[in-house]
Amino acid sequence: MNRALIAASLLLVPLVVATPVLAATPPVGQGLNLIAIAMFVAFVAATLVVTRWAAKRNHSVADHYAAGGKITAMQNGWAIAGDYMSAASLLGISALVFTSGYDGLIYSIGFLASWPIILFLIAEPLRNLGRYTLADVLSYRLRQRPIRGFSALSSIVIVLLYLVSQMVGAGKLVELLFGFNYTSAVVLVGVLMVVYVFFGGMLATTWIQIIKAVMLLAGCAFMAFMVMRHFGFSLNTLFEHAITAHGKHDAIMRPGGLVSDPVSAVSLGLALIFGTAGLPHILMRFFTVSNVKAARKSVLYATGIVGMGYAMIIVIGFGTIALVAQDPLYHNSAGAVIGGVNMVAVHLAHAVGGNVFLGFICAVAFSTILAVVAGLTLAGSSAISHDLYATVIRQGKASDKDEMRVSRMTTLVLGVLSILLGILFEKQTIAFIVSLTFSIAASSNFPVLLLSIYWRGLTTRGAVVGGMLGLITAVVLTILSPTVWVQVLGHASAIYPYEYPALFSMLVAFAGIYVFSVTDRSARGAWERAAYQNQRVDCELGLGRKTVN
Amino acid sequence: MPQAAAYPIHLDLAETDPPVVPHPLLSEPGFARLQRARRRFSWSLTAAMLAVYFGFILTLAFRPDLLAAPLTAGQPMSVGIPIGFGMFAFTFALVAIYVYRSNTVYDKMIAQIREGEPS
Repeated sequence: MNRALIAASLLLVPLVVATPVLAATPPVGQGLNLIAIAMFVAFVAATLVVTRWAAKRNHSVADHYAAGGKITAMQNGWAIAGDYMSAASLLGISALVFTSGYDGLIYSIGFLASWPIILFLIAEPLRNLGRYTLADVLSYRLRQRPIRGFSALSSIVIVLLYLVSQMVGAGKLVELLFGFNYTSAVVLVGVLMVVYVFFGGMLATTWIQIIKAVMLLAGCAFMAFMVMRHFGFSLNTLFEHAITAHGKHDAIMRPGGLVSDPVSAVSLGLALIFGTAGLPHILMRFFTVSNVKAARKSVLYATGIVGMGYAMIIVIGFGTIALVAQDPLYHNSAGAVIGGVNMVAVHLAHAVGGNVFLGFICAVAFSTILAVVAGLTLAGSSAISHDLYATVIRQGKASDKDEMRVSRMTTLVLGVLSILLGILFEKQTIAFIVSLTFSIAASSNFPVLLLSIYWRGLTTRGAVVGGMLGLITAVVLTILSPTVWVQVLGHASAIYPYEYPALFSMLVAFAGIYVFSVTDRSARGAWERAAYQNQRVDCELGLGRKTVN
Repeated sequence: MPQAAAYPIHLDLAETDPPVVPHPLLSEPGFARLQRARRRFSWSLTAAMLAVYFGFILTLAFRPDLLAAPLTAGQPMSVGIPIGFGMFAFTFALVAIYVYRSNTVYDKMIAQIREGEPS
């Protein structure tokens, strides 16, 4: 059955590719981008081979959620880096550098700075106390059903929002890069991600992520190298040309308007640095390695890879100013960048590497989205099947087979849902969604997880109420902020004056958890506090995990 | 030895929870030492990362001119560029310090404690 379905999905690819809507958008390169399409089809074929290989090794729940714990530290490092460097990293950050120079660097610093926090405070306790999901850790001493219900809900909200942003991005990207229409692109992404996760589980998801991360980093390295070579390997020469080419001149060398008021600056900083520690698709990667040492080392590799990637993307960004900004080849008759500023890195690929390299970068950009949505889907389906179904509904009595079946059904549902949402949100401004995702993660999953590991006084009541308050505050403040209230909903002025909610929503979450924990006088609350001491032992030593899955 | 809630999971089906029996290792001085040392180390590194990161963010918010000055007169490179790339290097260095010390010092302490544990 597996083989038949995978073969069927392979058939889908040329079907979609064969119906390009050429008239709708101008191709990014010159003429129909056949090389890009060929490279993309080659990538998809490779991922389906990987999926078939992984499907033969995907037998149990442990395989499906955590690749049987057999991923090595180096592999996991690449996979984490891949999860983290979505298409938004390459296209978004280079576009940010293109428009405002130095500000692009600020974002990438915040993204990278979250890794030490995860490593120092979260990664090892997570690995020692948990098995497949972050709720495994929370429910060590908290009541299974309410805490898993909360964790599944907030994880699903995060996963769905993130999926929507990726789907809309994918649809627009494919429309531009390959010339086929938005809806078929969204359907293609949805079908492929379901195939990867449904059959290949975590093993396929991990390897697709690794392949893509290597391709992405190689592509960035080549572009950064060609940019530097063009300017005689001198950053100063590159900057000089960029300053001459840019409308803002030497303003691009200093911080601009990205973080104007201190509250927004700190809020953005908090969301970036703590949000990652609450993203379920990142956290689940720590369960795929065989021991705590491998988990630790994988963060070292990931930080190195992501750090190098961002450094190269900054060079690429300044390269786009110097080489793309003034070139009429990449501008339409009105003088705007073809395809919008998000395409500047793609144009740079053409400028430094010709049509073949342009095709490669287009394929990489799209494969990046595929790999990230697969990881998100797996995280979402495990929250439903492992936390909600197996524990809350079946109260731990579900068999491996039942849990796997529900996980696969959830994958299908998530696929359909994200296709529908992707189509629904086509015309919406969704730029705020990614920052909302990080803000929610920093205000719901992260505070609960952190306090469950480090605060004896945490009780179920505090965790559930405080976590929910944090989640709701992040959502409500985002809706009331200028980005949604004014720009999306069209009101005259915003009720909440700042761009990002994290400063307040995190405060609400921590305060809520504290107040509702210390005022919890129940016998169960007292038991949970008393159980903390034994959790400390397992947290340090991982005694519950003597056997690897 | 009954334990509080090791995996497979303890379900809250019973009306009352069984009393928590403290794990025998809790009274081991070696365990207390390990836990103190590790937590102090982890939180110190966390504090260092947060201080440097929010130092950077608050400089951006309040004194952006500090980062705007040219590194050497007449060159386009501003002070902010090496500081920005330095943030990448600092982040990686902290991670490397943590991994090195955990691999060399704490893993040995953990192995010793686990060896002594009756199981």
